Amino acid sequence: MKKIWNKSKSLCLLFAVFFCFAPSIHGADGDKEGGGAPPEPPLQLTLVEAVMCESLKELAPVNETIIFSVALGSVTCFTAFDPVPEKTVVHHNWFKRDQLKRKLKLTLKPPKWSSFSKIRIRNMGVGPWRVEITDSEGEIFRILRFSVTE
Amino acid sequence: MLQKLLIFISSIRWQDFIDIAFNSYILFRLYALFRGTDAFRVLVGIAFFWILQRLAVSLGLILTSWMMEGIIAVAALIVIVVFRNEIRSVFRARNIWAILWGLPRRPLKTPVEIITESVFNLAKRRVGALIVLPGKEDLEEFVQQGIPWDGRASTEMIESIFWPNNPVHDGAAIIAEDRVVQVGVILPLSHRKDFPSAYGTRHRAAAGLSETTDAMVIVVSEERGSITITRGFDVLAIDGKRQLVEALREHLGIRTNQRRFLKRRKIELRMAALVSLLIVSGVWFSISRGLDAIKTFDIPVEYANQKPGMELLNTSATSVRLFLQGSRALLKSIRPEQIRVKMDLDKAVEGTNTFAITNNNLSIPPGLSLKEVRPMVVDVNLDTRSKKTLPIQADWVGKLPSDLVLVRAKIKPSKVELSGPKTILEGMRTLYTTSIPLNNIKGSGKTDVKLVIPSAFLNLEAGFKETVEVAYEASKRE
Repeated sequence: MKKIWNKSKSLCLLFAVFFCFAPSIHGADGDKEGGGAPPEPPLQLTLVEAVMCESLKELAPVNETIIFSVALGSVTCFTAFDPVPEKTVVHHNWFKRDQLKRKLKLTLKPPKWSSFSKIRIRNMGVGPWRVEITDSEGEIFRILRFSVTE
Repeated sequence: MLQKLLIFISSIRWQDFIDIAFNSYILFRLYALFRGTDAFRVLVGIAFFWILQRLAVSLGLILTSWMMEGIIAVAALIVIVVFRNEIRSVFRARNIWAILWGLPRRPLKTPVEIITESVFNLAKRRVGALIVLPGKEDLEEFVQQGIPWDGRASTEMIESIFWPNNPVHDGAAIIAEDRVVQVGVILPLSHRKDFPSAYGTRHRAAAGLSETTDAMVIVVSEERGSITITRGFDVLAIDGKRQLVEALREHLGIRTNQRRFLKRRKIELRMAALVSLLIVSGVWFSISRGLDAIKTFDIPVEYANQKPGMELLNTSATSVRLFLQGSRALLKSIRPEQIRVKMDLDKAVEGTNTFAITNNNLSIPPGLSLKEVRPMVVDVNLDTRSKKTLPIQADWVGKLPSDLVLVRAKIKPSKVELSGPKTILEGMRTLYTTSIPLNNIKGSGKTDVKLVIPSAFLNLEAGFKETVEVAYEASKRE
């Protein structure tokens, strides 16, 4: 069962990268809420991990870094949310200096979700960058800063 | 024609009348104070040369105009140096009111008859005497050891001064107007080689003073009882009273018909006032209303009176080109520093303000008018001052060694507070460091880098430095 689930995760990831580095979704275990338990305080969408990395391997960031050579070809922003109380969206806003270059929408599903966005880099992109990770309302979870170099 | 005249008259401002009247009066006063002096005659000569020079310029005689200019410059210098005594005596002899306003008063009549009578009495008794009658020049520099006397001249007094038992008899007495001013005065000796040997030291002293000044000196010989006068380089023996009286009158400028003389002088002064007015008016019209010309000036725009807390961000023009119209002579003499373009920002608001440049914004020398201004309007961008805290981001450049990965960097302090125009700060989200080269990085470390403040209008708030510390963590590539 778990094998099948892992395969579906990989497919999902490939699908996301294929479509213009658009948000990729990463399903999580299907833990279900227990019925009849005393009412708990409402859960809040929480960002547990956000890193800039060179690539992903088995849905884990590879070579977490703040410097990306143009020769590398792409930059990946990996984020993990836990918990995800309900189906929602987050945004990865890519800025070069203070200019917005890409705004990517990622869908998150309960109970926890990991996703990433990826952009291609070229010589024109050399300079300081940042990615603002925001919720659907634009509230910033975190800002990741990095540089694209020669 | 009449219309032209009316337009011309209406274009004259009240300031122009004051300008002409004031300068005419100065010219008239100079005439009144210096008339009859050698300095005045030289000044007239200089004025003549100036007219010639202007004429030469208008005729295009380049060499002549240059030569005239040179002569005028040298002559002006010579007047000050050579006639310094005359100039000094004019300004010292009268009080400031007399210089500025009072008409040259009629000098007190020098008692020619008293002097003549005294001189002949002294000669008869063979009492030696030296009497100095100053001209217009100040004698102070040329005489020595004079004792102030200041007594009204009378036959008895003059004779008693030179009486052999009088302690002051052995010098000259200076008689100015109707008073004996000084006695016992030592005069400079003449060094002339052709001076007649018959004359003694007293005569040589008399000649010495008259040669160097415009004074006339009367000498009474002790040995021969003869009377001699010296004036300039002339030494003249006096045979009779009439001859001395005439010589004295000529020297003192005393006319026989005083009433006629006064009337003539009144007319002369009125004529002088009129001529001064005409000359100044002529010069004024030639300068301010002469041949019209247009000249362009690039003048920086001054912005003033902006509201407190407002900051001038930028303007569409830092200078404007003014096309000024006026006489060629006036335009030629104008320097750009004499022209100002001032924009009053008192009513300006935050954002872009457009101001038209009008005569109200200009300060131009009188006699000139604004023909055109480019640009006609200026946009002024004003902003209020505010503060903002910004995170700092490192600006890495170059190539990191291929086996290394820069995992993270920590900047200390991570944020700084900036103050500056609101609109600039609003658009800023991050403050960047200067470029940090990656090429030399071998592992983890730290470096001090400067911040890049993107606008001259921005300042770091107190407590924040322009340099920050960047600590970086490097690891081996997987």
